[in-house]
Amino acid sequence: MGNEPLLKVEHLDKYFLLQKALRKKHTVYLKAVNDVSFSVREGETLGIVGESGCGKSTLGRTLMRLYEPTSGVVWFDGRNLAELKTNELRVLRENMQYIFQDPYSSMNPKMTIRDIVSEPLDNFRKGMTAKEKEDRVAELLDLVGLSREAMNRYPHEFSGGQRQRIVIARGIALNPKLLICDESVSALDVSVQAQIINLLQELKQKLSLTYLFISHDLRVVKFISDKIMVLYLGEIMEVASSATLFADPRHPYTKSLIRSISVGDPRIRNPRQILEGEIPNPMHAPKGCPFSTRCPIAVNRCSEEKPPMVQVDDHHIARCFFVEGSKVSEDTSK
Amino acid sequence: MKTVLEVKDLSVRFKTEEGSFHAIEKVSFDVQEQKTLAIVGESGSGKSVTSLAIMQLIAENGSITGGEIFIDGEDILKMPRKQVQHSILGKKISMIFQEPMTALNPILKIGDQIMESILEHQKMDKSEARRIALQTLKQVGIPSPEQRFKQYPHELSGGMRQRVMIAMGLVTKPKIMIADEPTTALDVTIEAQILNLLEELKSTYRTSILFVTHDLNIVADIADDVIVMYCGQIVEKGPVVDIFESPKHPYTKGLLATMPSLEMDEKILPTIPGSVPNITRRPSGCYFHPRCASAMPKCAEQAPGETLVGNQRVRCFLYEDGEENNG
Repeated sequence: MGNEPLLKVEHLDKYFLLQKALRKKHTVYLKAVNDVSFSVREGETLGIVGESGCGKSTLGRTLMRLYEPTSGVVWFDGRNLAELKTNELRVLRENMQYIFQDPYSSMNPKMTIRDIVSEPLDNFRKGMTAKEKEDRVAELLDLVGLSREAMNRYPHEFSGGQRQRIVIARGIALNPKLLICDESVSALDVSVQAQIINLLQELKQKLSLTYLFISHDLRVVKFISDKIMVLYLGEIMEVASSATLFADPRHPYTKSLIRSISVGDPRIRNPRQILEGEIPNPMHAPKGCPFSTRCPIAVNRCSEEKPPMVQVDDHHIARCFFVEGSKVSEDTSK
Repeated sequence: MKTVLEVKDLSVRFKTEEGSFHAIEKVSFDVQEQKTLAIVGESGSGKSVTSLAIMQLIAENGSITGGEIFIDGEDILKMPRKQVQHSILGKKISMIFQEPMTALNPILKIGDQIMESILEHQKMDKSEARRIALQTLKQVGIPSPEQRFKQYPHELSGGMRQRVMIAMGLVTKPKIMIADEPTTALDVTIEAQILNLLEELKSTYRTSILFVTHDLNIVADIADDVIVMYCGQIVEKGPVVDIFESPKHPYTKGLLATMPSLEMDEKILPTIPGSVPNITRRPSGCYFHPRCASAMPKCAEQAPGETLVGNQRVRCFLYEDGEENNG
């Protein structure tokens, strides 16, 4: 533990090869994750937000080594993941678990809940007796708010929220250190979504978990995260503590994102600030700042040159030429 | 004010292997000219069945078992089917869906699809239809419409496809447009664009909107009136400000409380326990009683009727005398 972060990512790239050519310069890549660096301390929740195509899921999957990174270093719990041999990945899998969006497709419909939840135990805790496994499954189900009777039933007998609980039970079966939640509450009904968010908060406390919480829903991310990272076309636009990001966003994209969400009050119907245009096709991403095609304050330089990552303060960074100036424009707009 | 859509005691039943069940029961509401009525509910609330029933798009194992649907003053359930299809559906009322990719024909060019919906309902020559189609595409914010006209749905982004859907819904200048979760599959910034577009078109086309959604934040932004549905019934109905300021039904209160807001500092969200029961296992009495914190013994036995409380109609025993009784 100490001061070392649990997860430290340095200049991570994940490119997908789209078109191979004889000469390297003609080869076309899709840069899904582009020079991403961040760290997460133990017990912290890092929210990752962005619109579709921003690379948030690719990032999660690359960390799990479901995708092989193109370059960059990932330190997890003091180990360099890139150096792990395939057979050593077991260590990683044990400590890093992934919770997917859709609980319907992430469980085998022909397996009972007992088999689903105990599968990680079968693979990683070979010394456990059947009785021990059974007790552990019951304990896990209890942790996620399901009764022991659920064990002998099948996924289709449960509602969406209950299925997500089962998936979470399986995810925490091996006492992982890090859970990557990829849109884990997005497919759920509003009333059930709140239950699952609370469950995740509760488990974090009880089991001292660390979360990477990937979502497109800014409200949910703000609620659950200590720190938030904003991605756009595979690049980090801004990272700040949850409170700071909303109180004092510095990147024009973060500002637009925050302004595009509704206040949720019919009496305050100020027209939402509209961000024009759409995310460009990642294959034709601008040379400079990826956001330059939609940015309300972009100048010529923005489409030509990559802006620097500016350190706003100790825990706040933003990648924009106008980080300082944007603070002033924020005040005048109010 | 003129009523463009009136639904009276509409009920829809579905036959399943486990028997026959009501998807919606005696649903009544009306939509005024140039107003937006939002139907809010979770999955299984019957919000989509209600809109599909109005459009006569109920799946084969379902049927309308009672009620009336007046569009522009005429009961479409009493009209000959052919006439409804020719002069009402797609003309006076149109619908846009959540997933434009599945609602558009993948092998027809955008332009041909829009022209089809014009020519189906109006007598005019092709060049005139083409002119209207291009003009509408422009109005819904599609850049270089002539070029898009010749493209196929897969060549457009999700937001652009939804704009095409909206254009198709508008070409016949309908009195009312049903929008069933039109922004759910879209990114937040695109969602904001589409909502603003709908708002704008509402006044240019003088059309009313029946907006079906699970998202209360959208409701707060666009609705004039709100219907909250649970298990196929309307549990609360009223003007949007009243519903948000003083929700009456415990379910509405719960839904509003579970919305994480940007101002919130607490680390635990209020929740409604349990989940929406399956249509085959709806409880006795008030359908919400097993999840309701204010449930009384009679809630499990009798189904509450609707009462008027201020500007809101509420289906709950707490308000039997027209005000909240605390006993």
